[in-house]
Amino acid sequence: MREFNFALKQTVPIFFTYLFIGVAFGALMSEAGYGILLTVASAVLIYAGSMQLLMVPMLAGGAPLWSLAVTALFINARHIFYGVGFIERFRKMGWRAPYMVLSLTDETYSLLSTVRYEDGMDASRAAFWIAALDHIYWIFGCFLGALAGRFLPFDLRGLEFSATAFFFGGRRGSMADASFKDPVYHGACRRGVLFAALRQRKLFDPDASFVRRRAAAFAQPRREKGGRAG
Amino acid sequence: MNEWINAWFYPAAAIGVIALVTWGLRAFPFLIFSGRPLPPAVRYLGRVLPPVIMTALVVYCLRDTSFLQSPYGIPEALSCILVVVLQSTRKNMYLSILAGTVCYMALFRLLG
Repeated sequence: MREFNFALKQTVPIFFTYLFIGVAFGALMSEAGYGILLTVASAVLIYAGSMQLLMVPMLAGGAPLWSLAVTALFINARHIFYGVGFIERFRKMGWRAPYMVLSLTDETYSLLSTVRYEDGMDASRAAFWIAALDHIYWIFGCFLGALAGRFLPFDLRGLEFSATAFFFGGRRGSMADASFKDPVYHGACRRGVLFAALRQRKLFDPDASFVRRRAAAFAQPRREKGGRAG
Repeated sequence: MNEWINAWFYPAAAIGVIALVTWGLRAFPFLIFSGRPLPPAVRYLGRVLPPVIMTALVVYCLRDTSFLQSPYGIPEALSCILVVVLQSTRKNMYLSILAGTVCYMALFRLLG
């Protein structure tokens, strides 16, 4: 019970995020003419926000199964890395291990990597409840959206920022960790920001050569700095 | 018959396929390293990756922000600053997320 209460407290921010994205997905599905059963089945089995949202127009357009599989592969490829830090911990979790592996979403992963368990607590049980509660929130959000997405009396737009704040806060929260001083981290961050900047076409269009110049200016001084720091 | 395929079989098969691909990706590291001790490089990656991935997720969340069109990314920028400031001064995760989200929702409505 103590572990459950702890997990409940830790997952509060995720509740709001999942509620919003889940409702959005459920409402999209019902607008596209798919029933509650298919919506809840997606929430239970797929349990990946971006892919589920992307799936709706693809389904409506009758996309072939192989193209759905390829899309899922690209959209969710980042999940490959999530298990790496948890291999040994999940191995010790017995019957819970397969569930922990398959329910490792962005939010659950971030929470499990930063959470500090209280003394004398069964960490395995607490981790399981964190994963299970997140999943329940997601199913609940999708269900609610399918049921009443279009008739909700309040405007939920902007609530999705809670996910950004959650990842941002998690980052800052563990800023003191040694891994933050690691050159691998800084290299990956620089590349991530660079790609994101390049992706922002609107920021650079219409002059394509300007993109390349910006990219070079962006990468060059940082690489020098990285060399000294690393 | 055709109607049944369009309304049920096709979406159910699609959900099944997507779920299997997603499960495969999530289970991949566990399948690769099942039943043998972890190589040091993998253990190292497991330690270093969380902050990298969380930073990437922040970027991913903000990917649709447009800085050239009104409201010029101002709601996102101000809310992120608020989250960082609160997180480093008050060190309360709930407060940071709540205040950041409320700030974003308000600015989004005022400026958007």
